[in-house]
Formats: sequence, structure tokens, C-alpha cells
Amino acid sequence: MFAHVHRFLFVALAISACAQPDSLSEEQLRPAVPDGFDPIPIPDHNPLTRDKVRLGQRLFFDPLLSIDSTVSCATCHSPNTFFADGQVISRGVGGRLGMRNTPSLINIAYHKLFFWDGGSITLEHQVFGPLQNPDEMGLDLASVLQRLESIPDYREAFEDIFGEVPSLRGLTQALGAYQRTLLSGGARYDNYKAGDKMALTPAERRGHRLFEGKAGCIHCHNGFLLTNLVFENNGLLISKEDSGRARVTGLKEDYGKFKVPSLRNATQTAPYMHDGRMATLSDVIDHYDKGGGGARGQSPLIQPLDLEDDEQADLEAFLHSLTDTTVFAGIEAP
Amino acid sequence: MKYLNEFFFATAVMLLFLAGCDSSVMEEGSTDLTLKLNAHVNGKKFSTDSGTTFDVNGVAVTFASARMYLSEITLIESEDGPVTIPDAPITVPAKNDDDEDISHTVEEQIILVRQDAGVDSYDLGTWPTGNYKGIRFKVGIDGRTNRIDPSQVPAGHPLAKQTDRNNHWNWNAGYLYLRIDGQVDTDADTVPDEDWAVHLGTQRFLREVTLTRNFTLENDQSATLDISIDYGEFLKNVDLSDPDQRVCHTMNNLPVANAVADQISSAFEFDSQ
Repeated sequence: MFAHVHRFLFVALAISACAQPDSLSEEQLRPAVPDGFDPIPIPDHNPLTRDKVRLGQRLFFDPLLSIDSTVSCATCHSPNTFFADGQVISRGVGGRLGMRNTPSLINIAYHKLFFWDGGSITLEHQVFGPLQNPDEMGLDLASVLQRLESIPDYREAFEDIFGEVPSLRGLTQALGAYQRTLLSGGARYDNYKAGDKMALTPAERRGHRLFEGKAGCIHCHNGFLLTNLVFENNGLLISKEDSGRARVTGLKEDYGKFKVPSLRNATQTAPYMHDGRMATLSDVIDHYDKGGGGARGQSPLIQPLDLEDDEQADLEAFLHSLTDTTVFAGIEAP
Repeated sequence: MKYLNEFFFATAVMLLFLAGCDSSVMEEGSTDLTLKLNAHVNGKKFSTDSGTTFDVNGVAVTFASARMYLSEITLIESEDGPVTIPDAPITVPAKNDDDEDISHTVEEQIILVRQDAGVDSYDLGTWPTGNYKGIRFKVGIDGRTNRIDPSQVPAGHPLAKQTDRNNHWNWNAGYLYLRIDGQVDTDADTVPDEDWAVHLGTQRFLREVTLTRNFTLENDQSATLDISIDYGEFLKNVDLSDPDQRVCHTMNNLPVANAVADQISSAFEFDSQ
């Protein structure tokens, strides 16, 4: 599996040593980002180094981090499915159902808040969520550290990179560093934006015009990530158990809000919505065409679109142009 | 002559200022202070032994967790106003109000009370000698410090992510100000059989506690402040026999969160011993 992932990293991520001496040590890395992307925000406390990213990658794919050693981060965030898992709701240890649909981790480095409701404040902090959740990996933190300490390779890697035995700080930094390297921005849409007008088919170009015009998708799905990373209520009727952003903030106005997902590689990350209730992109387009679900707190941005059938088809065609086939080519089933 | 008068006046003001600095209690000496928290439940000595049950509002209850954060610890000085002692500073990543990444330095003294681990005594550091009227602290973590990333706090610091029990929500920013949980008897056989939990956090439930009693700290004579905590008092207005009141992770059960937070202040008192 690691060989395939290494290829993925090599092909898609193009991590390169930073040639600038400035404040970076020669070990520190700055991933080459796709054209049109901002530089990756790398926190001062967790600079990227090659060894740290490799350790994070190894940890990411290691089921040792789950209570029964059956589930790794990659179980739900598989490179074969664009770092999501294709399930409506993911299953963790013992086949237990989680709470929400698994979002893709691609381009996660640019997010400010994590999880569908933004409850986690850093990429490092979010590690604790799945790790300790009994429906996901279900392992207590003391056991995590004991297991890592008991394996000489891990112990040595932590000592080399962090100067200490396996620690929560090292564990979260390594996993955060690895995830910051998961980048994708090589879709035909990107070539189109860069000036290659033939990169999109006529239907895709019509869909693009709808996306930015009549359909108004661009109000929320904008910027190089094709998301504004804001929390919005798209009118879905939601369960009592999951009030979205309000679960975190306690604010009534946040009821039913979830983070606007990126549309990059959307064709590869079905099903859709925070609970995976929509199986196809056609279902999603139909939802917005009808003006949302009409639930309490629905964003006023969502209004009936009255799209013709061929317009819906064009819009869906455009979404296909957001798939980064260069990334996909670098990923093979283990 | 006019300028000479101004010179004398300015010199006098400066001397008064310097004399004011020199008269601080720090100059008179210092001593080590320990906070001893004597826990009980409605008068019965606290224990997390699963075989030890407590009567809480007529229901048999056990405790598994009993933790809380104490911050902004202040001795109320009788003459010169309140005194606080900083801790060794740590600088860690945090979020500002706009959810932007920032660095935040924490230098106040913070205590993680771990009564469920059998820890009753907490080192408060070295304090200036003097006459004091009491102690004031907050249960919880205030402001930006509650928005730091616990994963990046050095191990051993009270704000670091703990490995035995969660002291910080995994699914939300912020610390668990008060964490009490255990089991409760639901079938009236006095044997606790269902889990209960009150995990309290967020700024709205930060509470200040002020305890007054005259005491004196003398030079090089280490002292202990004995304070009792009644864990039953936290639950005074909570009916754990009611399934709707049995689990409170703050946001999911605001009525219970309010009921517990409102009793925080009265749960503490100077020990009568």
C-alpha cells in the first residue's frame, strides 16, 4: 500500500525542498501547490519536514491506532476514493456506524476549522476526534502512546523527529503534516481557467456559465477550492441529534448549518451532504433546483432555479470537469 | 528659584513613586502555598470506588470522574489589593474570534483538579507574605486560553491533552471546566446501573468563586489553604433519576448545564478544620 501512496505523493504532491534559506532550515519542505492555489498555510509550530510527513503517512495508514487494530485513518479516508470512502455513513471498529458522511481530505490544508460543523480548531486537534470516538477508532490516548512506544521503528522516528518518545504532540503534528500535503488542483477546469478554452467541452462550458450565473452555485462554491469554507444551511431537514454548527456554538442561528464542501473531485466523492443522503450529483442539482429543502434556517441564497433538463445536464457535466485525473492516475488499489 | 522648586517637587514625586514600589508585600518575604481540596458528597467523604455510593437527591450515585479547572487564582490581600502569581509561560497555537490562527501565550497559574485520581493537594507556588482576606478563582478557562490547541501544549502542563480522561472536547474547541460522571440507580434497588455525566464548558458557564477568611502568610513558613468541595452541591438541582437530566455535555442539555453552573460557587467553602 505504501508504494502506491508514495507514488501518489510523488506524482500529485510534488513536495520539494525549499531552496530559500530565509527562516527555514534546509530540512523543511514547502509543497509545490497547483497553479492558482495560495501557498499552503503551514503553522509555525509544525513546519513540514520530509521525515515528519513520512511518519504521518505511516501513522495514517496504520490500523494500530484503532482499539482492535482493524481501522486506520485511511479506512475512511482512502486514497482510492479521493481520501473519502464512498459510504453514506462510515463504519468504524466493530462495524459501528459513525455519525456523518466522511469528507475528502484533499486540500484540507486550507481549511480553518475541521469536521462538518467546524468543531475542531486545527488539523492537529482534529486527530483526537476519530481516534477516541468509540464509533470510529475507539482507542484511548494512553494506549495509543503505549503501542507506539512498543514499536522500535516508531519510537526511533519520534525521537529523531521530535526529540522525545512518542507523544500526543508528535503524533498530531505528524498526522497534520502528512494531511497538509494532500493537494489536488489539476482538473481540466484548472486548465480552462488558465486559458485553455478547449479544456472543457461545449456542455461543460455551458454548465460553467450556469454555475456562475443562473444557478448561482458560485456564491458558496468559489475561490480556488470551490468552497468559501463558510457554514451554511441548505434547507435539509435534519435529525434532532445533529444540529450542525449549532452543536458547536450553541447559537440558534447556526442550526442546520454545515461547512460548504469543495466541489473539486465531487464526481469521485459520492454520496453527498453531511449525512450522505444524496447518492448522485443529479440528486444534488435537483435539490438546489427546487430551492432547497425548505427547512428552518435555510439560507436565502438558495432559491428555486427553474433549470431546464438540459441545463441540469450541462451543470452536471461541468462538475465532471472538476475531477483531477492526474491525482486519480497516481492512485491504485492496494 | 522657581526652577529649583520644580526640581525638588519632581524629585519628591519620584521618591514617593519609588517608595511605593518598595513597599510592596513582595519585599517583605514569601512563602510556598498549597491548596488542599477536601472533597465530599453531602458530607460523606468523596471516593471514586465503584462500591461507594452517595445519596444525591434521594438517588444512589457513584462517581467515576471528578475533575475541574481552576484559573485566575487570586489571593485577596487585606491592604494592597488582590495578588496573583504567574506561572511559567507557554506559547501555543490558538484561534482568534475570526477563527484565524494565532499564537497565544498562557502565563497565568492554572490547576487541573484531579480528585478522581486521588490528588487532593495542589502546589500554588510562592506567594508574598502578608495578611489576606480570602481567595478568589474561576472554575473554567477564560477567553482566548479556552481557544488554544491542547494537542500542542507541552506534556505535563495542566492544559495539555490528558491521556487518562478527556479534559478537552474532541469535537469542539474548549476545555471541560467541570467533569463529573459515574453511575446512577434507575430501578430503586440502591445499586447504580446507568451512566450519568455532566461535562460542563464554554464561556457562558465560567463561574467565579470567592471565599473569605482572614489568614496570614509568613516568611518561609509554608502554608496550606484547606478548602472543601461538595460534589453533591453541583447536583443539587439535577434529578439524575430523570433520563432527560442524566447526560449533559453542555450544549446538548442547557437546563442541566445551567443548574450545575449555578451551584458552583456554593460548592466551595473554607474547611472548618
